[in-house]
Amino acid sequence: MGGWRAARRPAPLFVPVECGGHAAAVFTAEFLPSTPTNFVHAATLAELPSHDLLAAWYGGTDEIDPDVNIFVSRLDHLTGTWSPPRAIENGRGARVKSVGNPVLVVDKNGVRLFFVAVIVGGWSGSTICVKHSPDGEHWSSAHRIVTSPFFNLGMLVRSPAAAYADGTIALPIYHELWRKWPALARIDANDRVVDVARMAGSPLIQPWVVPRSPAEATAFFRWSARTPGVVTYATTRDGGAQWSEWRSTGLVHRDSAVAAALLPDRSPMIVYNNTPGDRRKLALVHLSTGRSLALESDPRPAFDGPIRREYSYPYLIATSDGRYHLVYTWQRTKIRHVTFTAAAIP
Amino acid sequence: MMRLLTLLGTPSIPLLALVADLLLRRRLFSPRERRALLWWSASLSLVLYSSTLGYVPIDVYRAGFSSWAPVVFAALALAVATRSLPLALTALVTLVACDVPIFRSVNLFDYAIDPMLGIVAIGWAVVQGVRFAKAEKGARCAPLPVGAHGVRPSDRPPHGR
Repeated sequence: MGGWRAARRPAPLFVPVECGGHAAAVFTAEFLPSTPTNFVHAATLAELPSHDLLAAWYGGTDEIDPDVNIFVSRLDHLTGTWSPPRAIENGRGARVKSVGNPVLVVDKNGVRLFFVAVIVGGWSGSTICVKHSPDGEHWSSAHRIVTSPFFNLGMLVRSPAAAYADGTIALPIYHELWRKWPALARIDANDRVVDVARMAGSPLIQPWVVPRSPAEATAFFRWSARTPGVVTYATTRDGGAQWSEWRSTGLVHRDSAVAAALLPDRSPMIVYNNTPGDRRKLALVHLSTGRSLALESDPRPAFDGPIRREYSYPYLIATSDGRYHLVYTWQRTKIRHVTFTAAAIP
Repeated sequence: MMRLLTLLGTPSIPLLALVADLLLRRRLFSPRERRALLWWSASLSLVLYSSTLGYVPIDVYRAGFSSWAPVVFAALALAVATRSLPLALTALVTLVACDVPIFRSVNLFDYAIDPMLGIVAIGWAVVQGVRFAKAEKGARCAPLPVGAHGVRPSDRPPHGR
């Protein structure tokens, strides 16, 4: 008998995360290798045990099209070169319409790639799938994880997971079918969801969880509404089982994804689109001081024929060498990769 | 088509029990037990899916992960066992299936109810409700029975006159 897993597990405790201890100021930017697709979007990053970086993103003719693939590329930490992108998932094996929003998770069992699989209609008719790899090179076929009792539809993923000390992970997910809300799914090594904690209500989605101690974490949310709102946050003191009421950071944006990480002093920094209407600006903000660093600022029109001047979906991680790595969508045609250290932030 | 089939996901134990009942030519449950199971499924699915889709502020589904959910379910099964052994056995199999677990989920609700059963049960309950309403309306509008002396019961003088 498997037992009542959620009940028999001890209270979850987060594994402490890296937070950029590199002393020298470093700031470099590059594009990830191009893919032969009309558009690319929603990149994810993870550090492998070898200290190589693994990136994944999706691309095709457009969102929710059947020709969309998830691509991976690997950064050799010794040579500093990215491998040619390789398509590893298109959803056909999982009998889905399209795929998107990959999220890489590395733990002692290897690499897991969670992604959104569109079953019916648009993004709200999606479910979450996962596939495995021992090394980031060889991948299993995908299967669905169960996050909702209603046809297992409406749940999506987009942000990195936090590790728990007992080997489970805290995967931020969000619901978009009829009503929106963010949640934290606790998932074991067998991809079984053993708990799902709602974090807030509409219009907040795409939670980004930053553990601050074994029991405490802060989650930042995307304000997903037609009118401008603010980047909001909630906190937990029990490993993500319960969340506080959401509060405002005061950072104005509208319906665009946010990313966050801790600085060496354990204060959070956020990367977000600092415009109330579109995604032509992207900035990194130190929340405690309010100081910011402009990553992108494009005064030209957001839509110009086929060109979409959008710098969006930031994904930020801290690596074991004390650096931060940020990837984001660049005009929907390329993935930008920025490497920096805390000393480079004003 | 295959995508729609995979959408259905895994069946709940009560749905499997009802299918088995159909295959066994309705020898598994009595009509009363079948009605009870369908009413229970309709009620549970209304509560669970309203919550899941965000129409109820309480997260009902999360309770299915808790340690007390199987205890409550077992207590319900015990209460039912005095009246119906087949229904109690269905509940017991549901508990065991979740504890193994036979499907990918470890949430008790994924074994106690599924959307297909929910749709069928709610549809059945609506039909029952409509039939009941029609019968009530028909009873009110039907000609009243005529008494032995050609006087309708309502025409009779009230008591005490």
